[in-house]
Amino acid sequence: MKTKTGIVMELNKSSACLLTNTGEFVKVRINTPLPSIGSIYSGKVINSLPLTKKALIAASLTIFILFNSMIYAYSKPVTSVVVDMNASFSIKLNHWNKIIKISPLNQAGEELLSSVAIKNKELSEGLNLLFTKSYYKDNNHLNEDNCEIIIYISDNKTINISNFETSVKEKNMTLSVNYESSEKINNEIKHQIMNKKRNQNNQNNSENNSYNNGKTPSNNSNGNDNGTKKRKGSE
Amino acid sequence: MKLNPFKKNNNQIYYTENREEFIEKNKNFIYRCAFKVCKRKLSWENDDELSIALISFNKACDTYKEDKGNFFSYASLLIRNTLIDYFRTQRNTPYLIFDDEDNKKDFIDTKISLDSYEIERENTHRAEEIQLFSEDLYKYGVNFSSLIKLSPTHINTRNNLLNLANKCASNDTIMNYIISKKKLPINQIVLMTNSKRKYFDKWRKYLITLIVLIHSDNYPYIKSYLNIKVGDSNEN
Repeated sequence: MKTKTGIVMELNKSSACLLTNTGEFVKVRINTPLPSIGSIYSGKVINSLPLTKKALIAASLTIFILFNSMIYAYSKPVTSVVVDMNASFSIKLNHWNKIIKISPLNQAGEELLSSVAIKNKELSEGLNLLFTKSYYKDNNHLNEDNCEIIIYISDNKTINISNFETSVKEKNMTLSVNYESSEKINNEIKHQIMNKKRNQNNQNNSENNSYNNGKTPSNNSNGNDNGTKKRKGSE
Repeated sequence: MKLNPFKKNNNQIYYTENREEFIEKNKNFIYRCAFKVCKRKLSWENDDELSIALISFNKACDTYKEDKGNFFSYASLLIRNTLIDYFRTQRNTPYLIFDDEDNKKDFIDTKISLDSYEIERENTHRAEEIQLFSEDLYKYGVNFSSLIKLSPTHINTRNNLLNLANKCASNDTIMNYIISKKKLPINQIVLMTNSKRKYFDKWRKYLITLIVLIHSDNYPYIKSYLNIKVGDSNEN
């Protein structure tokens, strides 16, 4: 804050109006000892914004904070759901049971997700979409009768998925809903993701090896090993 | 040792007989006062400003009383104010400015040092003037708190308004209008100068303050506190 010197024209509780020698009327802070009117005083300038500017700043700040907190509340995951319908997914829901994140847990899931827009939909609706898409896909296994779809929901949350249930029943399949603790579900998800990664690595290795096999015969044993590993991962 | 020539202890002959000698001794002081305001070299033979300064110094000798504080600061006050009034009456009124740099250029021996009693006296005089000034401004609907928000921050604007106020103060018809109706005759002023109406609406109250201050003879202390000097007309 700048300091200005001038004649004290008016005294208030904590401020004084000075007239500087360059003809400016300024408001400055006064300290003890208090100056008298007519004396020459130096003080720190008080800059006060006009009321409308202050109101504008306050309003825009509150809007900004509100907006951010709304976004935060909306995108905070509260429930974790794991779906296994041959294509496996891990779904995160917010307070309002909308899907905020969905990640595939196996290859089939990945393929399915790429063709479906599912974010921000209610759980029931989203599951329906996934279900119908996978049902009508060419190489899915759901077409076999009496296939079971398993859903794991974290922390005993009761979510209305009756729509999904009815559509599953229409296709003569069973739906089992399990309630687990979120810990168990998270572990399950991690386990599935590890498996998926292992599968991918094995696939890459086998591709490399088959390419190399043409050149060096010493890689034959590797090829066999890869075969056994693959079988394990597909369980 | 500071000689106050008008104290009863010192020779009172300064007061009447040795006036000429006293003025001769203080010619330097008079020159410096005038130089500070006019900001250019002055010559005793040619320049009117110096003769006016002499006249004011003489008047200060006549009108000085103990309660006016330090004699030399009183004299410089009178000289400054008379010169500013003189500029108004000239045909080619010079462009006046609020000068900010005065303090840096003063040499130690030219500064007038005041003791606490003299500072008190000055403060009292200023306080009396401020009281009158605020009553006067009240008639125009202006008070100091509103002036805080309404005084221009940029010094060039203030200089502009200072010169406008000076022009208005020298024009009798405008002054009559202002004093009788307590308002600015904006149409006349717009005609007289080349400024826009919006400019006046914005700085109306500040301009009124300056006009009242400049035109009236009641506020010498406040007027002389403002560092009004002659500036270059290029600074427009």
